Amino acid sequence: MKRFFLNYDLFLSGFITFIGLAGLVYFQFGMRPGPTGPFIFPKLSCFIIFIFGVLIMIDTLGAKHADTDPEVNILSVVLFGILSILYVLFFSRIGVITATFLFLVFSFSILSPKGVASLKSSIAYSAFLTFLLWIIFVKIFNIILPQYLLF
Amino acid sequence: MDAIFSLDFMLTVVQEAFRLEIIIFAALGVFTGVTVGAIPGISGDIAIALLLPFVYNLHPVPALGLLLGIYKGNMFGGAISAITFGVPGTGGAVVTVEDGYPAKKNGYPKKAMLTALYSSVTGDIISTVILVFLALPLAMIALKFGPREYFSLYVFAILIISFLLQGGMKKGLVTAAIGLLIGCIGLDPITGATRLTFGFSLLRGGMPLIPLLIGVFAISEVMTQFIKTWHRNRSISIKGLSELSSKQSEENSYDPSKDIMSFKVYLSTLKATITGSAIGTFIGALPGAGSSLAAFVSYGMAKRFSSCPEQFGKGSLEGVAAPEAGNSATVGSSMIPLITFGIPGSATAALIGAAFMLMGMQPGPMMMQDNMPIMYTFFVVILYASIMNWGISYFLIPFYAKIAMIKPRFIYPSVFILAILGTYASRNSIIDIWLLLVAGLLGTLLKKAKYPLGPLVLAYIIGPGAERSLRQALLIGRGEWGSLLKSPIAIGFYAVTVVVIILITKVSFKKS
Amino acid sequence: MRMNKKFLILFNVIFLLVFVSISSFATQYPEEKAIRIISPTGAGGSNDIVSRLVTSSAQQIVGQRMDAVAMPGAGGQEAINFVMNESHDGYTFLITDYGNLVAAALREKFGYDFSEWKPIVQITEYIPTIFVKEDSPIKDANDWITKAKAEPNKFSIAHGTNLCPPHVGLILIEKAADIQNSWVPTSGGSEALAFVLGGHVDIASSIPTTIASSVDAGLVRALGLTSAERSKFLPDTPTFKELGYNVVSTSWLMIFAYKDVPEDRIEFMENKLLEALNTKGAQAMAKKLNIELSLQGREESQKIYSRTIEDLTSLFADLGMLKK
Repeated sequence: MKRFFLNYDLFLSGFITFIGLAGLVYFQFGMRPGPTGPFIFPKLSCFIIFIFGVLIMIDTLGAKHADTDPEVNILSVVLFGILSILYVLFFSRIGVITATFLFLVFSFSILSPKGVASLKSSIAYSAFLTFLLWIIFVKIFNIILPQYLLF
Repeated sequence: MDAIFSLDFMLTVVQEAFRLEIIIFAALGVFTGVTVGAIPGISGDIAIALLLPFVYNLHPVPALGLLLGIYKGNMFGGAISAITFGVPGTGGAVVTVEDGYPAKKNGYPKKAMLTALYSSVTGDIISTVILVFLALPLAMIALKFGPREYFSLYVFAILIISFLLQGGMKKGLVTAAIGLLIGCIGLDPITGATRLTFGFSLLRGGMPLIPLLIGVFAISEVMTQFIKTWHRNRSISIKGLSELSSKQSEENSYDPSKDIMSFKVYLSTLKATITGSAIGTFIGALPGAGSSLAAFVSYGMAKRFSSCPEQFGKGSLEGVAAPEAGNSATVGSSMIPLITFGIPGSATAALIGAAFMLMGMQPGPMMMQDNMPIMYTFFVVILYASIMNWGISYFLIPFYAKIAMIKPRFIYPSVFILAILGTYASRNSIIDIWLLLVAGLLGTLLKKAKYPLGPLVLAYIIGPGAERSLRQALLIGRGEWGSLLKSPIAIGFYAVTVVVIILITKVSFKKS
Repeated sequence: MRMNKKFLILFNVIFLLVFVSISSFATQYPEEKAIRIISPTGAGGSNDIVSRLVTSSAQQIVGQRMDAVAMPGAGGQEAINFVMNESHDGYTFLITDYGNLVAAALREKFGYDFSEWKPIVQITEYIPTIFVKEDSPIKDANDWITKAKAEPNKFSIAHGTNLCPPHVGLILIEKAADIQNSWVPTSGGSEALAFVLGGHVDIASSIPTTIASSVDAGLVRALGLTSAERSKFLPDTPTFKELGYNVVSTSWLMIFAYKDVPEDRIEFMENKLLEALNTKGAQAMAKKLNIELSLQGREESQKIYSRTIEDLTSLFADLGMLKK
């Protein structure tokens, strides 16, 4: 069981197989049967997902090494995901342009080898990029961004 | 007919086509299209739709030059974003990411962009020439495509791509099936009943394309690279600034002298370009098939017939040339059903059809006859707009190539912001941004386990059309599955699919 | 001196406040901002074309910029929700046929009642038209009905999306003539036309705008219309009413205001739109676009709208398609 969770490929293929099976069960009790009903494609999709999910699980169980991309660190992805959610949530609190500026300052700073020491350059680049985006989206394409505290 | 080829008529047409006003509008259209296409999330359709009110006040030919310039420029512009950021700027550039982005990572973004440009222009010119000289015969062939034939084409496309992309057949089919399932969200194409919306009225129209496209490709890539860059630079800052210069040079290892395009390189991709051009021209003439389908099938066929198929997915220039030729070749040919029968070949062609109508020209069988001088002037403008596309983009590429090699510290957060804002811009909806992040998570999870993302997007794009075709074919055949084979064209596609799958399976069996 | 400076500042502030408030009071409708006509179908479609006809003809007479905005998302509901949620100040209107506003809402629960929508003007009518390929063995409408009666489900008929106006017209013809055919829904009139031209279906139902050029070119033949009178674009095509079938089914295209838009503003828009669409320029543009203008004011539009709701409710109840 521990191996199942440690082996990401196995875990994902298991999850995918489960989704396929759940979908098949769900659509089996759906409305309008028959080849021209609205559930033919969802059923077909879930069937393919289930069958090939099982085949991939079998392959993975027999494999010596997990076939995964080492560049993708799931924990880090989750952290980035939280950062993204906070950024979007701030749209409605302080406005898109302000939130974008702050996000860029934060990102440019933490991604710099100099860290906080690069704050001045990060602020300068962020201001320029934010201004450019405002020109493109708001002025040229007339996209109405949510406007709140600042702009 | 004699009147068309009389010297007077041709001189009048050429004089009209090369008026300064028209040249300026066409150039403006190309520049706008390339720039808009290069911004992830903003499609050329938005630019065209915004310009429609002004089109009415312009003379027909400059107005159409402007709109076509945008359409052409946009097709190539999508490749810039695909190569620079790994984000397809348009649906047609989805498969360009497969090899374009690795090409940039391998240090030759300019070569990749120029390959994309040359093949794009080649495909565009070929399909435009066919539009001018062979519109009616090709339109008659396109009419032979009904539900049975479309379904067989879609099956061919999905299976070929699932088999051919990196990651293997099983994983390819699973992601294709996931894409099909996502494509089922929203209104059932036949009965109009809602499916898989879970009560959200905004999903009634289905999962929107932009959040899925950008989320699956861009967000997943940005998340990965953002974290990678952060880890690397943290270790630099911990170890001290003395290591900084060596790491910086590692980040900026781009050597322009190794990123030079030559005629020899163009010739090496010519087979892929011609394959893409032929496929794109044909598929573009089929109403509703789309530039994405053309790009995917072109890529699949080019890989199949390449002398170095193992390089595909790793930065192969053939892998850039084929889909770009394929998607650009749909521009001219999507006008064919519009001009000959009044049936738009694509959503953009529908917009251009609206522009024709607003200018008093009714698309359809009488269009050529009733508007001959304008139509032939229009054809000349379409042809030279392709050349303009080449010229203008050629001067923009070095600028974009430089952007491609900006430090990761700046590029990834910027791409992320562009993705978010571009997604919001498409429908002014915050829900789309949440869908974008969910799609990004899905893309990342699949990427980690090396599931190819291309089949997911292709199946999502053509799934609704495939389902509609299947069910229409069954309705016409009164529910008999055997009726799907009552078409020689459909049988032909199924046969080719089986043969290609057998050949591919044989080759991969030999390798293992 | 200090006292004078303070007085000067105070005077300027008061002056500015008064000026600003006078300016805002002085703004008359519709001077405040651009007027938007929102269409629930995609740019380039028939609704969008009509919408652009309206905005380009009317803006000078209305005295304000008018924008035609296409919002096809969520199967047309995005446009409807947008107009509902915008401020009801007379600057945002909906242009639609009955498909998105009435037919869809009879089948599914949406957040509005039909009475909340107030029709301002009717612009045109879409007339469901049955047509075949030129070389079809079906000679005319009576021939079709005779053959269909002899062999139910013999013919396959393509139409637009499920329960769109051409489909509803087809259903009513089948009811009146007591025949049964195999329906093949498509993505719209263009696809239906392509299926007929390609020989994939026997017959199709669409609207005159979509097929007029193909009829003129001799590629297709129109068998009949479901309007009360013949169409100007298909003068040789009889109506089903003329042929003895009691079928009159057309789909209006109207501009609607959502509830709470001030009465005087609705009246203003009604007068200006009718004035604009009755000009020679608008008539000429409509002719170029193959649009047959069928203008009605508020009162008549409201009657037509109410009748449509009743008729569709009854039809959907018969078909078992009303929402539960």
